[in-house]
Amino acid sequence: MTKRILSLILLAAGLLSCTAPQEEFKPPQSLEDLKGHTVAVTVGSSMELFLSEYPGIDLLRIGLGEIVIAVQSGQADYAMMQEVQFDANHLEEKGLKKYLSGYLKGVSGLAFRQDDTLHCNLFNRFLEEFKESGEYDRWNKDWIHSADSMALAMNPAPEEGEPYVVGITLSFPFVFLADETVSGMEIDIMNRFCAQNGLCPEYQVVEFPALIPSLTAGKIDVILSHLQITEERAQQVLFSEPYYEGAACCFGRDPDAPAPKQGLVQSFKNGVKVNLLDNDHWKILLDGLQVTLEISLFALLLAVLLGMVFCYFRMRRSRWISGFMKYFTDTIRGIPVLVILMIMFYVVFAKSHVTGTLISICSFGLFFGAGFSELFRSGMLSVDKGQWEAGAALGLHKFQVFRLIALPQALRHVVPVFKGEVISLFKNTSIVGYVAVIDLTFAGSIIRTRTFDAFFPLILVSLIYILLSRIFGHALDALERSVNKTK
Amino acid sequence: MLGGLYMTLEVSMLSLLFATLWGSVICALRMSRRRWLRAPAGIYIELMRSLPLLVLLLVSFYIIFAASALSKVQVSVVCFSLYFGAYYAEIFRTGIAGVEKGQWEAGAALGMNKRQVFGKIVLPQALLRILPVFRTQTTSLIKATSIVGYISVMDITKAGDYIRSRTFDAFFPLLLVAAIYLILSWLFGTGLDIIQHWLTPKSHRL
Repeated sequence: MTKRILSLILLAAGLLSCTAPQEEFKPPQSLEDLKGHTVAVTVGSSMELFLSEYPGIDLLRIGLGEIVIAVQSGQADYAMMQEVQFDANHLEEKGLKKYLSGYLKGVSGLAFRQDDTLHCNLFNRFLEEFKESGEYDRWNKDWIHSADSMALAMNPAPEEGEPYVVGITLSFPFVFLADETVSGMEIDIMNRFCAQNGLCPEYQVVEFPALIPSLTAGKIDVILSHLQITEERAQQVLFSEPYYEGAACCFGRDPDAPAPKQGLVQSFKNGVKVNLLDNDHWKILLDGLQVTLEISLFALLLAVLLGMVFCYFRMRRSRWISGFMKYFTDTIRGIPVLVILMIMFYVVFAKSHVTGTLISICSFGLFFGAGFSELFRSGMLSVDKGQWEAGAALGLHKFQVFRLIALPQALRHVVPVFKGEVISLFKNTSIVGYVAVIDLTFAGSIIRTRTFDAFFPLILVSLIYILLSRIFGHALDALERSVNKTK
Repeated sequence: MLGGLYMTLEVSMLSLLFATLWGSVICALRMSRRRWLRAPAGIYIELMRSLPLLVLLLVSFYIIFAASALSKVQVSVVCFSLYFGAYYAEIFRTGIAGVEKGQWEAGAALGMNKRQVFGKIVLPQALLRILPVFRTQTTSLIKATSIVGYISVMDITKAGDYIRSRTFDAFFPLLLVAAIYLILSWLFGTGLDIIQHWLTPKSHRL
């Protein structure tokens, strides 16, 4: 038996370790040559739309931070991104090479809601003056041709004025985080515009595909994400006059690039420096961790509370109430948390200015509350009916029987499962990035969009999750022991 | 949309199958009398249970299977099988451990060998304990597949996203996706309920 299992494991390991055959490399001359290859693009970008019309290209639709990693790791053969991004990030130093350039030339503008002509006109007037004064050319030249965009002087954001929520995506050099403030090429122009018009910008990081839905749902007031002006998009949003002109390039691995010759210790040191110390990345990670803990803790409290309320109604003798509660909890438990989260964000709380963190807490509270309700109920049902009768016979009233006799016994059944659920809640919060909350996982992906390092941030984030899960597990073990003490 | 549904079903079914098999293997290791088999299985289960599935998926895709020829769908299936296998292993273990020791002894007293006792006496009883929890976990598995979009697998959630990004209508695609998951969970749940009904001895049926 043991031998058979071992041989199975060896077989599986053997299957997994077989790698793709090496072919002779021919650099692509045109988009036609990309056929039969995997090309990574950002979800929802104009590159994605463009390439999806070419048959035979296998598209890998992922986030910006993952594009470079996908090429480096071999999951994609090529990738497309804005040429400026490729240059500013010095990707040629990371073993990558530009093969095709000048595709998808187009102009980008700010995107407003269809009925928001007021701000759109304000911006157009600002842009006109900006161009006439010659400042625009300087702005464009400075940012596009600078070898070190980090060192450029920024116009600071005005601190007073009418609050104005600006939806951004992080992509160097357009928008990036430096020393805990948002800066970059686009932020520079936005800050100037806001300062002139008495607006106080509040920058909110949104995943690229969520930008337009967030705008139409009223979550943000304007999109600042070098959004290319296309007819399809213009039917949904109101574009300003273009403020940026750019093109996309296609890149792949550079076969002539020297293989990195770094020892394990050296590459670890380098990883710590690039991913944690530079640009205060550790602060982003720490903030993310705090958000993860906040959401987990409050969602847990809410879930326990809701679970008790649901359980109370579920156990009512009235068949209407308990039947309704059964369908209600079953429905909630039948939908993925991710979908609940998106419904909460885009549908339920669409028009209100509730923060993503609060929406996450509500979604997780509701979802796990429904689970806890069933858990509590099964705990209560596991207490023998005779216990209730015995309590009544002793002259205790119902609440006393519940508290003194039924609850301690029910808890013994509930706590072990509860422990698993709490850890699962904690881990599940890793998806809140979808609704623009910067939690631990999303913080890791923000760092990836800057450093394009696959290994380090991912492993670090995993380790933090493992560590915290263990700590929660131990705390709940203590709870379990104290519940079992009377046994 | 239909392609997305098909993809969700494919990933769910394959993962369910392999996770069950892998879970049985891990469970066998975990319950083995040999310490050197038991300990790694325990560590493996602990590790899987304390790591978010999304992080595991990203690590698998970009690091572990980066150099291998596995497609993104295969990586998803492997990843889900590894993850839920750990959960299933624990479910199986508690189910089997929940069968009273006396049952084993009684079987031995009847002259059966260990495998016979397990197959004929312990397993039928354990299955009854396992199935309700197995049902919940399987529903979780189906719902958890909604994250494969992160590595560009076009499942039903991602298909809904895609439609949303083209039509910019937030409401309808989301509710449709939610309804489809609801129906899927319900179908799987009912299927497992039927199996459970079929496994329960007539005398125990309510």
